[in-house]
Amino acid sequence: MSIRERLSGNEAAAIAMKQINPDVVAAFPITPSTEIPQYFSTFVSNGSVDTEFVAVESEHSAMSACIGAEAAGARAMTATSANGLSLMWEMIYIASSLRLPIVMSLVNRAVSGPLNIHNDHSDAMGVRDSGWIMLFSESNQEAYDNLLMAHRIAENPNVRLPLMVCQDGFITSHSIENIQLEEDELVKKFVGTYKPEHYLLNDKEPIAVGPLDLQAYLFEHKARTSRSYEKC
Amino acid sequence: MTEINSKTPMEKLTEGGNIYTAGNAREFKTGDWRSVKPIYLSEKCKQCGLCFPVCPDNAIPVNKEQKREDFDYDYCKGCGVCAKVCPFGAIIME
Ligand code: SF4
Ligand code: SF4
Repeated sequence: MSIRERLSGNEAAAIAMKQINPDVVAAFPITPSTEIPQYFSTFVSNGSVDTEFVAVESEHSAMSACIGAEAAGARAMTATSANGLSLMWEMIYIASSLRLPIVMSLVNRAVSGPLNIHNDHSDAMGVRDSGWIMLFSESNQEAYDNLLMAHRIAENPNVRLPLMVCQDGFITSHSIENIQLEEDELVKKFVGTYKPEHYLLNDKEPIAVGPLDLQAYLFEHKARTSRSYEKC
Repeated sequence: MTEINSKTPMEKLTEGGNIYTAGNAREFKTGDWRSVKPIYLSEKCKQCGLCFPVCPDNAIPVNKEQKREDFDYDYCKGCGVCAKVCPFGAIIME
């Protein structure tokens, strides 16, 4: 039975993350997505998730921590907005080119300046060609539903790409709407456990992640990434 | 895995270029990065053992009798550290 609730878009995203119960969340606060890691850290401190919460000093480090965790074999998530995503930019490409299915909750906001904290899609469009899958949510319900589907899509062996679930800053993130939540158990079953085929902490198979990729290979790897899009 | 080369079609490459075997740096010959070359003058060498631990590329082979042998130019990048360290002038750079 679905649960009828009324939640803001940020609350909906945080609750989806609680139900997903990822291994690692690394995030840095930025309006309008601040509440997502804020609510999530409450879930960590009151024990309703087992997640390792990494309170980093910048978004660049947030994405770096997610990359490290995901390469190690863990499920990693983050949340950000606007200039936060801009600061992640370098690592955004690394996440997708290393084919790490990190899931991000992106609350879209205009990239400054002039300083504006409200919604446009310039942040997401700035990383449009990076190889991340983007799901855009029109309502709080979609922000929630898309996050529940995110890992299933990103981690699919034919896809293996990071994914961002976008919603509009303030328009949905801070508006309260009616929403239907799924039962915790059902979400857990649907999302499943993450079993990557190759990962750094597998002592049976030592691997190298992100080695030198010169002329003969780079385009091939990029082409493979773009082909994986078509399998989504 | 090690069969991958520049003719391998993209479908057969590993995701993100990951390498699923250990100890493969050996396959990457870095000797052609060299612009100067260390020369081993064996008659001056006292086998003091100071040069090979400082080589960043493990390009000074040591045999079972703990004696250094001639350079492994497949990997020596010509950094000159060994020549600096040798107290007996048994390594010159040219
Ligand atoms: S020149 Fe540098 S790389 Fe070559 S053998 Fe000497 S220390 Fe090693
Ligand atoms: S440092 Fe010089 S003398 Fe000592 S082992 Fe090496 S080459 Fe020989």
